[in-house]
Amino acid sequence: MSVSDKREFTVVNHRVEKIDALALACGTAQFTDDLDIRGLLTGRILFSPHAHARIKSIDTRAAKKVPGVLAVLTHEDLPRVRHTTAGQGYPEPSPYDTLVLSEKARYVGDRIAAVAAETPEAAEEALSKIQVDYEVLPAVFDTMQAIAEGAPVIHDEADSKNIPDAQHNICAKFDFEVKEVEWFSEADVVVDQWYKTQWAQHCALEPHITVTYFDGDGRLVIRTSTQVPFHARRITARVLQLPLKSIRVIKPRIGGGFGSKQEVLLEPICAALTLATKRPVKIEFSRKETFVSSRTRHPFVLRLKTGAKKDGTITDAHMEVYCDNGAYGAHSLTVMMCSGSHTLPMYQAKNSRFIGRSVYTNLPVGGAYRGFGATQGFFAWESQMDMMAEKLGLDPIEFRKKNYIRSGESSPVFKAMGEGREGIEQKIGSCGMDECISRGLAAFRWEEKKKRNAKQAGVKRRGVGCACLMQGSGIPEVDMAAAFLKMNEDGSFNLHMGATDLGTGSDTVLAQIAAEVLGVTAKDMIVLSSDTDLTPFDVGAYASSTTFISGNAVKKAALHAREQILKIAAKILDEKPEDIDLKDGKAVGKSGRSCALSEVANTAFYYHDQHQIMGVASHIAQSSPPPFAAHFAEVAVDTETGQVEILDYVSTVDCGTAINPALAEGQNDGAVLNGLSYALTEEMRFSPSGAMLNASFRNYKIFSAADAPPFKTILIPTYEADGPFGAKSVSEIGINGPQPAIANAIYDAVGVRLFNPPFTPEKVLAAIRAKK
Amino acid sequence: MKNNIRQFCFPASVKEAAGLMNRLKSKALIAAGGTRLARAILPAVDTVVDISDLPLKYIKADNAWLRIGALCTIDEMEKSPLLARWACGVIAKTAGFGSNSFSRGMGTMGGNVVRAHPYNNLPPLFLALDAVVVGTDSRREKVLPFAELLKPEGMREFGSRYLLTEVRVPARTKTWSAASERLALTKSDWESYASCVVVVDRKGGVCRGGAIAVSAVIPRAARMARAEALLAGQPATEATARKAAAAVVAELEELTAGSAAKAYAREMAGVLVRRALCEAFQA
Amino acid sequence: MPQKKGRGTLRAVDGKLDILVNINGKAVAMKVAPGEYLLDALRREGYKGVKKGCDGGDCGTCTILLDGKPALSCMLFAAQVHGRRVTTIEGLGTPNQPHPIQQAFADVGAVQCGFCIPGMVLVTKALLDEDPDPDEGAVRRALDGNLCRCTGYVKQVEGALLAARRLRQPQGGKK
Repeated sequence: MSVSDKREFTVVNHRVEKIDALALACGTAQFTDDLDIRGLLTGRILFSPHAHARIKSIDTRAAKKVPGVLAVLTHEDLPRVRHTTAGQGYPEPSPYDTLVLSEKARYVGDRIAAVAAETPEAAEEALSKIQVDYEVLPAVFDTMQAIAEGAPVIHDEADSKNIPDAQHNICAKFDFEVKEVEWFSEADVVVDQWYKTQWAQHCALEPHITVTYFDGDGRLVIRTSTQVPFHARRITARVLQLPLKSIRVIKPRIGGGFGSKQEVLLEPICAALTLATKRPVKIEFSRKETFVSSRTRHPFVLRLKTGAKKDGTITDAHMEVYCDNGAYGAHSLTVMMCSGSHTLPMYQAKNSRFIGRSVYTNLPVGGAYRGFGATQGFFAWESQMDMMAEKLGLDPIEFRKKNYIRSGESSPVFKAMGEGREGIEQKIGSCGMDECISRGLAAFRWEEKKKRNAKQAGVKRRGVGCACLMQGSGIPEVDMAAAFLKMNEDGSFNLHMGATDLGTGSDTVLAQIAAEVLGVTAKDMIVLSSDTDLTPFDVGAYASSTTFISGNAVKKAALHAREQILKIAAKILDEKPEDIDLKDGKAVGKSGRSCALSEVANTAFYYHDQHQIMGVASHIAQSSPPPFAAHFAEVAVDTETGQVEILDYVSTVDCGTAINPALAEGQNDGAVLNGLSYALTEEMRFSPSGAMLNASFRNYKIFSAADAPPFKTILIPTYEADGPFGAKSVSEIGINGPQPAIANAIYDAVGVRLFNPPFTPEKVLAAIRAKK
Repeated sequence: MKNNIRQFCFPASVKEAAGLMNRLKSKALIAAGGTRLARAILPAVDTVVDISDLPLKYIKADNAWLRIGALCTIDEMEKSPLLARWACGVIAKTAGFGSNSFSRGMGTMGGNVVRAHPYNNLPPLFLALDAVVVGTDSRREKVLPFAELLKPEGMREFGSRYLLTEVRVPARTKTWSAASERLALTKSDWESYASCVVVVDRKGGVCRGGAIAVSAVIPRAARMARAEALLAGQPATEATARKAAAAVVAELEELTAGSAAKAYAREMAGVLVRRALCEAFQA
Repeated sequence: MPQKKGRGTLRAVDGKLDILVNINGKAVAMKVAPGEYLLDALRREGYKGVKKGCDGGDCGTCTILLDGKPALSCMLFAAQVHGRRVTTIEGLGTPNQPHPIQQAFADVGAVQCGFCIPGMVLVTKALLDEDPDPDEGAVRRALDGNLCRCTGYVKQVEGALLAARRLRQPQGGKK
C-alpha cells in the first residue's frame, strides 16, 4: 500500500499537542496588537447614527485642526471603487455595493469617515468635530417589508454591480427546481411551515484589528486579524488602486473569527490612513463596534412545504428562504444558497425546489458565520422532520433513517447548487450517519429517557429531541490551496502554506499530515502560514476547507519532497526507492539497512548532486464530501416560567479520519456550545430607529463555563477516499444541531413547537399558554 | 476612555476617607472593588479615593446585630460560616446570584448596596431582613433603615456625605425562615427578569409576620407591604403563599403602571415569591 | 516598595503619576496617566499576554492576579495597584519552562485560539492555590468570568482538573 493510502498512522489521528499551545498558554504568542511599532497612530472610524440617510456634506476642517490629528478621510478622499468586503475568491459572488467609506448612510454603524491621530484622545476628539449634514430617509427594518412594493430603496446608486433587483432591495436571488412528478401528487401528508431565525453574532474574543505600515522598502504591510490574507491583499489592492505586488498581508495569531474575519473589513481603510499619513496606523474595533459594525449571522425567514408518503418516503421539498443581509450584500448569494445546498441533498425528495432571496435592510451587515446558512436551513428542516414524523405516526428516528442520503447515493441538488454558483455532481463517499445515530442514541440513553419521561408529572417537564446534519468540505472546483516544504540538514522541514489558522489548529493538523508522509513527528515541522510574501496561495479559512483542501495540498507537497528523499536514500542505502520507507526520522530499506533523514539532507546539501530538497504542490477538489452528525438533546421545561434547562446533550460527528482527535473534539465542542446559546439566549436587539440595543457581552448572552450544560462530542471515524488520509471536515457542522434538537425536545416536553428562536422563557411560556 | 482624573488618594482610616469624601464631594470617586465604576466616570471627578486599604472587612455578630463590613467581598459573604447559618443561609446564597468569579471576588457589599442597581442582589435581601446601613462623615455616625437608603435623599447622602461602613441585620432574624429566588436567562446573567427575598417569622405552622422584597421588575428594590399583611396570622401553607404572590403581582402592576413590557416579569415575580414562601414555610 | 497601608496620595507631575508595582516578583516603576487603566499600562510596559477583549469588564481576557486574587485589569486604574502585587501570565512560565497548569492545558487540547487562555490559566492558579482539590463544579464556577467562544469550556475544565491532580503529586507536577 502506498503511503498515500495508508490506514495505520503514526502521527495522523493522534492527539498531538497543538504546536502553539504552550506559547498561547504562556502569553508569548503574538496577536496583531502584540507588536510594538514606533510611531503608531490610532485610527478610528466615524459611524452613522442614522439607519438611512443621504450625506449632503461632510465638513472635516475642524477635525483636521485638532492637535495630533494627521488625517481625516471621507468617501470624497478615496477612489470610488465599489467592491464587496466578502473574503471570497475572484470573481466574488457578492454584489459590488460597498465603498471603503460610504457615500450614503445605510445603517446605524455604517462607515462615514476615518481619522488617524497621534493619540486615542486626539482621534476621539477629531471624530467629535466632524460635521456631517444628513438628510434622514425612511428606513426599513423588516426582511419581508423590504422587498414589498413601496419600501425605501437602500441601494439606489448607479455604480453598484451584481445586484439582481435593487429597486426591491434584493441583493441575491437563486431559484432551482427538480421535478419528477406533479408537486405533492404523491404525498399522503403535507406540512407547510414558516420559520424565523434571529440576528446573532460571532463573539470572537479578539475584536477586529488591523495594523498597516510601510516597510523599509516602501511596501505596504498589512498585519491583520484575518481569515483570508490573500483575498485581503487582492481586494485592498483593487479598492485603493495599488499594485498588488506592493502589498504584503501577514496574519499573526488570531483570537477567533468563526467567519467574522472572512471579511476584508478594516484593511482598506487602515491602509488608506497609512497612505495618507505615511505612518503606521492601527484600527482596533471596540467590542461595541464589533457588535454593530462588523458582521452578523443573517436572520432568515424560511418556508418549508414538504410532503411524504405513508411509508415515510419524503416526496416533495419546497424551500423558500428570505435572507436578511442588512445594509450591504456580503455573502448574500452564498449564505442563502448554502441553506439549501447543504440541506436538500440529505432528504432525497423526488421533487425539490429552492427559492432564495437575499434582502437589503437598514440594519447591520450579514457575513460568514460558522454554518453559513446551513444553520438556519437545518433549524427549519430538522424541526419539519419531527412534524412530518408525527403526522405520519412514525418514530422520528426511523423516519430520518429511512430518508437520509447514504454512501454511494447522489442528489441533483449537488450539481445545481454550489456555493454562489453551480455545484458539481458528486456521490457520497464516506457516510457514518447510521453509526452517528446508533452511537449517539446509546450514549444519550434515548430509550431509557423516553421511558422515564412517559410517566412524568409536576411543574418541570422533560423531553428529548434529535437533529441530524450534513455540511460540506470546501467548495469544489473553486477553493484552491498550495503548500511548500523545504528540508533542513537535521531532518526537519520548513512547511509554508497559505492555509489560515484562526485558532482551529490547522497549523498543527497540516504539520501532522506532512509528518505522516515523511515519517517524522509534527515537532519536526516548522510551520509558517498565511503571509502573502512567504507562503503560497490559499483561499483562507472558510467553508470547512482547510483540512480537506489545504491538507491535500500539504500532503502532495510532502509526497513531492518524499520522492526526492527516497531517490537520495536509494543511493545511500543501495536500494530501490520503492523498497524504502520513511519512519521515525529514518529512511529504512527492505534489507534492514537504514540512514537518518539528516544524512539524506546533508548529502543533498553538501556531497552529491547538490540541491535543496523541496516539495511544492497545489490542490483543488473535485468533490466536497460532507461530514455527518447526529445530535440528541434532553431539556427540562419549567411550565410556570418557560425556562428551558438543558439536562444532557450528545453530539456525534463523522469527519472521516480525525487528523487530530483532540482538536476535532474541541472544534465540535465549541460549535455545539455556540449552537446551544444560539438556541436559548443569543439575540441582537434593535431600537425602533435601527440602533443595536445590546452591543456588549453583558447584554448579548453567550454561555460561561457555569452556564454550559453537560454535553459531549463523540467522533465517529469513517474514511473518505478523497480526503488526506481519509479526512473530511469538522469545524462548522456542530453549530447546526442545537437549535432544532432543542426545539424538538421542547415539543416532546410540553407539546409546543417554537419557530422563532431564541427560545427564551418568555416565548416558551407564551407558547405553552397559547396551546391551552 | 477619556476622564479628568488627576490624583489618587489611599486613605488609611475610615475617618480620613470620609473626610476626603466630604471635602471633595462630587469631584471624588470612591473606588472599592473595581468591577463597574471605573468605566462610568463623570467629567466632574478629578480624584479617585481608593478605600480598599480600610479595615472594613468583617462579618460578626453580637446580641443585637449581625454586622457586615462594607468592604466584604461577595465571595467572602458566600463563604462565611456565620452567614451560612443565618436565616437559613439566605444571605450567603443570595449574595452570589447572577454573579461571576470577578464580581464575587472583587465586588464589595458596599458597592452592591450604595446607589443600588435593580439587578443587585443585596438590596432586596437587606430590605427583607430589616437591616440598617451605617455610615460616617468623619465626625458623626449615621444609621439609616435600609429602605431609606433607596430613596432619593438617602441615595444622595450615602455616597457624597456619609461613607457607608457597614450594614447591620437585627439578631432576631437569625432563626427566621428565609428563601430567595431569581429568574434570569442564564446563571451568570447579572440582569434578571425578577428576583425576590422572603423572610418569615413562624411559630408552629402559623406565620407571625414576614417580609417580601422584590427587585429587578421595578427600578428600586421594594417591600411588598400588602402581600406581607396577608401573611400575618395565616397558616404556613401553599394557599397562603399563593394569596401573597397574587398580591405581589397586583402591587407590581401599580408600581410599573401596568406596562405591557413588564407583564412577564411581574408574573414571574409572583411565581418566584410563591416558590420562595413555600420553601421558607418548609425550612 | 510602599506598604499597602499608608499609600498616601498620588498627584500628577507633568501629567503623569509615578507608581511602584510588584509585577511578577519584580519591583517595577511606572509612569502612568492618572486616568489610565491598568490593562493599557501593562500592555504598554510589554505584558502583552494581558488581552483586551471588551475593555468593559465582561469577558475576562484582561485577567491578572492582584495580591494573588483574580482581578480585571480593564476595570482598575493603573494607579490603584501602586504598592501592590500584580501577577500576569508572563509570571507563570515560558514555552520552554511552562507552569504545570499551562502544560496541562496544552496536554488536553484546551487551547484553540488562545486569546482567553492567559485569563483562564491565572484564574486556575488562584483557585488551586486556595483549593488544591476542587471538583468540576468548583472549577466551572471559578472560570465563569472568563468567556471562551472556541472550546465550549470542555477541555479547559479537564485541563484545570488535570493540573490539580498533577500539582497534588509529590513532585508538584514538574516533568
